[in-house]
Amino acid sequence: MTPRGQPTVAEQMAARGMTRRVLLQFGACMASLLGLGTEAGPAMAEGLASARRQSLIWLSFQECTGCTESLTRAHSPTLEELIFDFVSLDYHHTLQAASGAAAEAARLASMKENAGKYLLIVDGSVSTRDDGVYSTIAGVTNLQMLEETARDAFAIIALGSCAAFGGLPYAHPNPTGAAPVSALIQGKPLVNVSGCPPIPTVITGVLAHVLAFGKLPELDHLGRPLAFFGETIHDRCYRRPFYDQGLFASSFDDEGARKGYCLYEVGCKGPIAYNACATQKWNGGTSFPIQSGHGCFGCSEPSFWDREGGLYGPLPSGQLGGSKAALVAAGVGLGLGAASAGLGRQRQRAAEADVARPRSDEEA
Amino acid sequence: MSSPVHLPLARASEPTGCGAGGKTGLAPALIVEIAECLAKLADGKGQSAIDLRSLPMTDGDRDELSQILGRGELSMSLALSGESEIWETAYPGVWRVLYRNRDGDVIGDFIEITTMPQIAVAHIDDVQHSRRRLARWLEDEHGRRAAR
Repeated sequence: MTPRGQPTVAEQMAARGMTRRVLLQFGACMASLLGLGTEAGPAMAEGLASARRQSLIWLSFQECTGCTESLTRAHSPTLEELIFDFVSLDYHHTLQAASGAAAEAARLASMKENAGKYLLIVDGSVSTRDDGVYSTIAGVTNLQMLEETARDAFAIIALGSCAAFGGLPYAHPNPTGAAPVSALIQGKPLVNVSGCPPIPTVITGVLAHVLAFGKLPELDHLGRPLAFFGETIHDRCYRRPFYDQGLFASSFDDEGARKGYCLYEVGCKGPIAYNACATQKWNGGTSFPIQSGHGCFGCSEPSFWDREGGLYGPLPSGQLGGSKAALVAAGVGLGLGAASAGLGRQRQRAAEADVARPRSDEEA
Repeated sequence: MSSPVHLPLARASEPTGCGAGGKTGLAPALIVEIAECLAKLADGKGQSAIDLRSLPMTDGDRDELSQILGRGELSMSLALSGESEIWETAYPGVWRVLYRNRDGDVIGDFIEITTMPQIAVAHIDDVQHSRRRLARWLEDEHGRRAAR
């Protein structure tokens, strides 16, 4: 029992017939996913076992529910479903049984009882224009609800690209004045778990780390956990050898596409997208966009909806670094100018500009 | 006009170079590390573990490693969410721990160099819990006999 007389996670699980082995296996697999080293597995298991179930309040604002779907519809939910044993999900629109006034009362009661100790998850961006009237729950604006709930939280997880960077509502012309959590709340430990949606194991991994060790994992300059966002898709893409050899698909379903060549020409943003899709993959490790023949569109990066060139315009070759392949790609861009007037001209101009630009040391 | 060329809708080919199915030499290199850990265990200096999924192993590397290490006397199956397996290799003290989920996907793959992998040992809290459960069964049994 914890000092407050509430059962620990281990005690609650034992009452449901789950032994410590479940936690040991969970800890070992999670520590592996988080890149923490084998000693961290038992430490994570012990941290979870002796903790009281962590109070979790989940606020959903201008979102599509995709982040919740990602977590709860995980194809092989073994690890993901365990998270609900470690947390007490005190408020969540889609998952909680209560609704209306009862739901709001549950949120306020949890905030009071667990002041300073509850974890806050936010998905969706927050409307700020005209005092935030464009998105309200029970007559309370998202902005008010966020400020009031964040006050006594011990940490905040901004889940998904909308909460982390503004996402789709933030895209031009941003009619509701959508803003990410980081723009609105300062002075609270914050993790940005971006992605549209984030990979299920990424969500669980971050939660498990916070629950077991009581602190945030190591973060990058955008507040994203380095364990999952430390490398680009391009860094770990299995089609990289084709990129390096300058072998590209020029359009969907052409000969190059059927041979599984690099998808740079059809708009793959892999080189500038930091995420774990190339290693973790989706649907229980089944596949990820590039493996299915579609370029990455960089959904874990800020403002990806407004990226110049759109989803299917190739990245300017200057962003690919100074490899031989980049120059080949630029040449290909030039040659294809005739193919599709608008896009071809745009690419041609970009490629010409890049080729003409003196190469910096960085690109060498 | 010639007839359209039907390209076989093949899977994207694996990266060139060693080939994803081929061996990279990582398996023999790992044996060096395992040997060091085993020496440490033999000298009473503690246990170690290697997370195979943290290494860039190909299927060929994994097969080669399994071949070199072989299987020993003891193998255990662990029914948690899915069917997981723990077995001692042909080198006592060197174990393979393979965790699977309900769909049979591997979620953890470790080499443990130890006298017994920790997950196999019953935790004292679980022993306390089962002590109470068994005592309850005996009480109920006593009640059942008295009722006859």
